Amino acid sequence: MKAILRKYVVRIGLATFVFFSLAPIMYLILLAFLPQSSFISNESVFVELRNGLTLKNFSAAVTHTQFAKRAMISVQMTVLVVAIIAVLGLPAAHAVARLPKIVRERVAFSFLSVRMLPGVAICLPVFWLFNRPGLVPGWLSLGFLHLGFNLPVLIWLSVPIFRSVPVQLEEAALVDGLSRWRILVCVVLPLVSRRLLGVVLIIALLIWNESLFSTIFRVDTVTEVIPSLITHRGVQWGLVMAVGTMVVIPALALLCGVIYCRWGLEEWEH
Amino acid sequence: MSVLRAEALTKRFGNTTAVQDVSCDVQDGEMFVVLGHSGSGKTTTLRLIAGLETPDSGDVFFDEKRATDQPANQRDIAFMFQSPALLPNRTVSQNIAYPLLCQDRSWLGLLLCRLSKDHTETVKQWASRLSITSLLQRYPATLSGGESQRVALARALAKGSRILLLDEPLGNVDVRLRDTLRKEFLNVRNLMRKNGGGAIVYVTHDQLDALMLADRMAVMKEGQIMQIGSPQQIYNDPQNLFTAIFVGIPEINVVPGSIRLQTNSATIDLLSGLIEVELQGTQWRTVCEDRQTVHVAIRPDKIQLANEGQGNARLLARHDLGDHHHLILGIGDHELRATCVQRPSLQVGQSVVFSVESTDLMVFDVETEQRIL
Repeated sequence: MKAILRKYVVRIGLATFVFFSLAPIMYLILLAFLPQSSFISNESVFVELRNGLTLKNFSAAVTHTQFAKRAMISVQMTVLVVAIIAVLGLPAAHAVARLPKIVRERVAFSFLSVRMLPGVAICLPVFWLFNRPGLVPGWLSLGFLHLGFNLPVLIWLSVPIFRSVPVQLEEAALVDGLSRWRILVCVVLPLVSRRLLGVVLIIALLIWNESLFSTIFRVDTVTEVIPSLITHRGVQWGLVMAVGTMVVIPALALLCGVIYCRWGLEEWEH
Repeated sequence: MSVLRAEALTKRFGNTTAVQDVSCDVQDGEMFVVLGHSGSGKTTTLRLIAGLETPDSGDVFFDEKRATDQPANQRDIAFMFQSPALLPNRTVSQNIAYPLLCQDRSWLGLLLCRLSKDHTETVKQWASRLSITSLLQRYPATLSGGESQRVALARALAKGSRILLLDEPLGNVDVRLRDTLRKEFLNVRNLMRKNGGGAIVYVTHDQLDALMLADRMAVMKEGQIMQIGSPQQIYNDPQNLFTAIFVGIPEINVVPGSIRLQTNSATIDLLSGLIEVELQGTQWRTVCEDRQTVHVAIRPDKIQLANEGQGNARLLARHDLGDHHHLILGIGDHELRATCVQRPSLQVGQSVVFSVESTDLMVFDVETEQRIL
C-alpha cells in the first residue's frame, strides 16, 4: 500500500516538474502562431485559438528584424568563442586536474569566482574602456567578454571529467615516451571526448542565450533584438513570440545535445 | 657493470620523508627485489628511478650516466604499474603495441592505433611468450586480473627497454596465479640475460616474491634501506632486528636475553632465566659485556623438539600444513613459534621438551636493534 502510494506521489511530483519546466516554452511557441489581433483582445488564449493559427508573425519577424543576418552573427560568435574557449580551457583544465588536491580546489574555485560578479558591473567599465569610437569593434569586445566569463566555467566543469581518468594511464603513456601534449590529445581526450563535448555544448548554450552584453555593445545577435521590439507604440507581441521561438529552438537542440553527452556512456564503455 | 645505480636518493612529501638516503646498485642481468611494508617508500623509490617523481637530493645513473634531470619520457625504461593501467578504449594488441606507436612519433598513428606489420609481429611474439594470444582482440574490461597483468607485462616488455621496473606486479592477482606469473618473471629475466643484458627492479610487499625471484634484494623500512643482499644472506644473516622479523614464515621468535660471562665459559639466559644456553667460541668476550641484556632471535625451525633439552614447554596450538606443523609453545608467560615435520602424536596441552643450539641464536642490541652476533 505504502509502496503504491509512494509510486503515485513520485509520479505526480515528476509530472508537476515537467509541466512547470515545459509550460512556458509551449506557451511561447503557441503564442507565436496567433495573429497580432489576438494580443489586443481580452479573451483568453484558448478562445483566440478558434481564429486559427498563422505564420505571419514569423515572416514579419524575419523581414523586420533581419533575422537571417542576426542568426549568422550569433552562430559565428558562438562557434568562434566556443572554439577558442575549448582550445584554451581544456589543456588548462587537464593541468588543474593533476594539481595536488588543496591547490586544485583553490585554483578551480578562484576561476569560477569570476562568474560570481554581476555581469553588468563588469560589462560597463569594459564598455567604457573598449568602446570609445573606433577603438575596438563591438563584436570583438563582446567576444572577449564571452571568453572571459565562460572560460572559467568550462575549466570548472572539465576538471572532474579529467580527474576520472586514472593517473596511471597518463604515467604509463609518459614512460612510453609521450610528451604532455600528446598524452592530452592522444590518450586522455579520446577517453572522455563525449563528456567534454557535453561541457562544450553547455558553454555554447550560455553564449547563445546571452543578451545583456550584446545589447550594451550593440552587436546584432538574435537575443539582442527582443528588447528593441518593445517600442514607444507598444510591444509587438507577435514578433516577440516569433523571435523568441526561433531563438529557443536551437537552444533546446543544444540542451538535448548536452543531455545526450552527459548521460550517455563513452564509446568504449559499451 | 652496474646498469642502474641510485645514490643517496631522498624524497619528501610535505613533512613526511618518503625516501631517505637510499642507495643501491643493480648489476647487469640482475633481478633486484625491493621488499617492504606498504608506506615503506619502496614504490616512491621506483618512481624516482623512473623519473615519475623528482628527488629532493641524490642521483640516478643509467649505465653510469647521470639521468637525474632526464624527464620520464626520455628515459629508456619500462614501467609496470600495480593496477594494470591499460587503455580501456583500445584492444589488447593495441595496448601492447602502444609503446611502439609512441616511438613512431606520429599523432595520427596514436589516435587511430593502426598497427603496422612489424608491430603486429612484435605483439604476436610477446603474446605467445606470455600465452595471451587468444586475448589479442579483446578489450581490457573483459579480462581477469591475471590476464590484465600479463597484458601489462607484455606492454612493458614490448618497449624493448633494458631496464624494467615492476611496481607490485602481483598485487591484484589471486594467489593461485601468482606462482605461474612468478615463473613468467623468471623467464623474462633469463630472456633478458640471453638478449644482451639489462636489469629488473621488482617492488613487492610479499616476501615469497622476494625470496623466490631475487638475485639480490633490499629490505626497506620507513624510507630507508635496512639491508641489501641475496635472499640467502637476508634470511640467514639479517643485520638488524627488522629484517630478521620481516623475512621468514612463520615469524622469527624474539625473546629477551641476558649474557653472563665467566672465566672459562659464556652463557645466555633466555626468557628471564627459563632457558640457559651455553655459548660456543670466544668472540662473545669482545663484543658483549657481562650482564648485558640483548634481544635474541631464533628461527622457528631451529627450535627442535627432543627427548631432553634446555626447555620445558606446553604445546598451546598445532596448525597442520600437510607435511609439517606450525607449533606454538608456551613457556612461562611467553609463546614460542616452532615448526616440525609431521608428528601426529603431538597433542595440544601436552608438555614438550625442546633444545636450542647456540649457533642458531642471533643476538641484537636492545637499543640500536643492530646485530651483535
